[in-house]
Amino acid sequence: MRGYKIIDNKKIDAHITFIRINPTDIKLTLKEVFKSLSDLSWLSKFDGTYIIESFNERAKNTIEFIAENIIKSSDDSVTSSSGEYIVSELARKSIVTELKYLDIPLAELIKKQKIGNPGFDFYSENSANIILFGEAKYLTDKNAYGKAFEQIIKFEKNKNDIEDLIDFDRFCSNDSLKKFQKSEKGFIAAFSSKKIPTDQLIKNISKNAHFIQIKKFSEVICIAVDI
Amino acid sequence: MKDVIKNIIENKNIDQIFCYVLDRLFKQGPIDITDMEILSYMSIYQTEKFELHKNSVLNFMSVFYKDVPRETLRDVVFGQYKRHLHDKYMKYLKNDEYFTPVQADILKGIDNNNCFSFSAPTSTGKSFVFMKKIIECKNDVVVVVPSRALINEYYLKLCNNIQDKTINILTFIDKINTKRSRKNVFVVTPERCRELFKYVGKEEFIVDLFLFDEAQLSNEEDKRGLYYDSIVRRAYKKYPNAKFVFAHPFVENPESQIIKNKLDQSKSDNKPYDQKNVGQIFIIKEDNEYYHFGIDKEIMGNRKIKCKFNPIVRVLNEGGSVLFYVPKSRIYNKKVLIDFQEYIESCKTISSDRIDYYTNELIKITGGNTKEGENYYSQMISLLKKGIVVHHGSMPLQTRVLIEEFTKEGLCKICFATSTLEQGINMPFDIVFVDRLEIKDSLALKNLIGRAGRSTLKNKFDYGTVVIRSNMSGFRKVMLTPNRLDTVSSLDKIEDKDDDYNDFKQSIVNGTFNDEYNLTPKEIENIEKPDTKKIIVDILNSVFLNGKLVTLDQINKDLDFKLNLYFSFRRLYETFLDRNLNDGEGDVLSTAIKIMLWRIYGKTFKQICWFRYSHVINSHYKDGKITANYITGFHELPNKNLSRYPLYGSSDFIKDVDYDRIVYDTYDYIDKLIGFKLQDKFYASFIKYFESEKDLRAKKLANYIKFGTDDKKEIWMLRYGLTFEDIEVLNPHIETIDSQEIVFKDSINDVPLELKQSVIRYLN
Repeated sequence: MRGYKIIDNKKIDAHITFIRINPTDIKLTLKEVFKSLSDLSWLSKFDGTYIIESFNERAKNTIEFIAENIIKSSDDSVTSSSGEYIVSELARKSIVTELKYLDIPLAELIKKQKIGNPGFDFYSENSANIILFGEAKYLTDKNAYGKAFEQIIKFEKNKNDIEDLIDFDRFCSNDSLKKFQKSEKGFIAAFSSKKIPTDQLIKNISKNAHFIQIKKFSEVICIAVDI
Repeated sequence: MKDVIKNIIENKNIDQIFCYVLDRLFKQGPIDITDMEILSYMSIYQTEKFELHKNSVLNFMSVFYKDVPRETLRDVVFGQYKRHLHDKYMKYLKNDEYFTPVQADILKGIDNNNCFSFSAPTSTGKSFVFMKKIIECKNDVVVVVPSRALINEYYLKLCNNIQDKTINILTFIDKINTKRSRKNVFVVTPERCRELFKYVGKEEFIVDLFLFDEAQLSNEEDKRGLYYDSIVRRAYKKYPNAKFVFAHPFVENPESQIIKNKLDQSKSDNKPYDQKNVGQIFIIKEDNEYYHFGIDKEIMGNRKIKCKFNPIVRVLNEGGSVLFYVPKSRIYNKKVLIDFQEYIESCKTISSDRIDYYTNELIKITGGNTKEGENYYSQMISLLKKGIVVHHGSMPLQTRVLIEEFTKEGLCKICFATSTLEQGINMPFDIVFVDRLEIKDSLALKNLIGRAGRSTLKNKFDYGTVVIRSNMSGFRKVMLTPNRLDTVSSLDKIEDKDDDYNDFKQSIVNGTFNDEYNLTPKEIENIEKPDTKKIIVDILNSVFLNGKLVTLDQINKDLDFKLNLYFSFRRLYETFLDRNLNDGEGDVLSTAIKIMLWRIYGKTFKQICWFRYSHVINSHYKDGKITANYITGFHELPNKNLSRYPLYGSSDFIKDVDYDRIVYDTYDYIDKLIGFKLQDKFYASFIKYFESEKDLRAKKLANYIKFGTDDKKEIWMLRYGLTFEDIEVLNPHIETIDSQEIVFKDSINDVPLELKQSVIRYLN
């Protein structure tokens, strides 16, 4: 059960990959994320019987409701927030299954740092032992790549990647950590995309000023999620 | 994360701090005092940014009684749980009512166990759960609280919540209204609870639930703690199938109740809840400046940070309320009015019908007036018009109730209260100002400051402010140190205290304590001695003429006769002590006897206050100035070291005689000495004498002492909870009254509603 289909997997440059995903089962992805979030919340420890008694039944209704709103492109904040989680999770999954990169859970689920800066949404490590930092953006009415690139540049400048590393370095290889110290790192921009042809989308992305700035890093992956 | 207070005020790292605290709130819940401090500071100093996160904050806190929109998927996690609880506990809740996770868990703890002991912060809303549980029980419920003030609070709450007239709500264990009622809810102190055990066989009550609130009382090292545990054990033995619930404020080991009283652990559970519904910030006032300080120095900052505004004036200007904890002596000598003049001045006089109503009600009870410079002037009542109230354990209970209602109605701006918890004001304020920090009893201190922060139904983050004046580090230590209750009961400890305590303990442990008379076997033995009987006969011969009580005038007009009568009562009291009273004790007891006799002769509280005040100001001239008459103030008895000392005397000028002070002193005599100590002893003496000698005069006097009347109908009316004031109005409209019911005459329909409130539950 993957819940998505890869429609395109192209190279923009030797070190830049473009992947396009068509979610086939938003509910499935949303359910996984929602369950993980619930498990993470204090309520799961506080009331163990809730999960057994009624979580699944209730979550089914909740997810159906949100998924419908995503499909309808509702612009309320819960839909946006959920959309962003779906984009994150699908992008994360696709690099794990398609590119065979390291499987690290969503940032929110593994965060342990005490400092508390807002940071990247997900991470991975590629076969060349380069650590990748992923940022996901969801917009109901337009392609969200601009927002994602902009955030990556901002975070990189603020050294959020260095701060985030404390949360997930336990998943990474020693080589990758050494490389990171030498600023060898990569970024993943995951974003919701509207129905325009892939070539046109890539063309637009290539012209984006922030994207041009990101190109200098070891690896860049653009993941468009048709949602 | 460090220097958070400074950073928030200086607008530094705000996103980072939000991210930190929201993540913790989501994963751990609102359990950390520092997280709650951070949120409070954010809501004060970063209002706009806080607004962006507010809904998540409130969702993650699970304050489900607020209607909070959900804006993120993480919020939805909590929204879903809110609905889950609502559906699961539907039978308890109205459509617009919701349980918080803690409230639901308390309910679950009660339902799933024979005994459930828990602790929770002040604003948890446990009484909401208790009300639901009390209403749900099929049979009787016994609520045990430490003080009469708390009985009253519960009683009013229960009356407001339970409309069903087939449920008796009583503040004594008694069998009344049996024909019309299907169950009883008793709200009693441990001492009153003993009455439960005198009913046997068919007469026995069927109790479904025992609710021990503020159960930390069992930790007290005096007779009350001992008695408390004995009541728990006896109730548990007699009612093994009932549910037992123990509620405490901030204690780490609520299981102590189960362990110390040897309750069946396999059928018991316990939980300390740390979840808070309101935030708090902490301020120290030094040299007329206010400084913020945090509890956790590592995170909030090591140094105090100057507060750019006067928090008290700000709260008062915004229509909020401030509670000043001050020593009673400073209320008595009016120093509070000078020390806190700045704040008092910012309270302008308000004219409102409601304030007039409260003023008139207080005048009715205490007999004071609001005309400055005149006799019987009551400053306590006069201050009401500025929204300023006084609250302490020496105020008559009825006046305290009015003050509490006044506060609940939002009319109170400033409250000066003493820190006696059991008698204290039990309601939240925006600011709690602790004038003198007593850190020895850290549990009590936590409980007091727990009143800072009102939880509201509004979609806003609620927080309160605690202001202290000294000892920042001591305060931090108290806040960070968990409190533990003893796991060994005083009943099981081998310890030797004074004779009084030892006799009491022995009789409790042996099961020989006399519930009917509230006396130890040794005390009963003393009553039955021939010497004691002689004293009793002396008293009866003095106060009865031809089988009728002599009049008060007859007692008053013959000074020797009066002094002899007082002396006989003194000798009777001395038989209980097995020693003679010293002069200081004798003065106090004589005053108490005088007040007791006034009550026997039907004098109301305000009349007694008037008599005493008139005596003091019935002045004489000394050195060209008018000075006061000698009057003995209340002191606890027995006290071997008590010396003779007047409340007012010839060194006081009558202009300085304070009517409020006479009111408080008179109430102390009635409540703490007559009600708590003398009444039971004297009642038992006379009733036992009646039982052995069949002298009807003794039974009459016993009834007068206990009830203030010997009239059967009136005694029944008192047992139904009517006061003498109620009886005066309602007696003509009552056809018959007994344990089964009150049968009213048709004329009751013509009595205005406000005059028949006390019997409204017994009316068809």
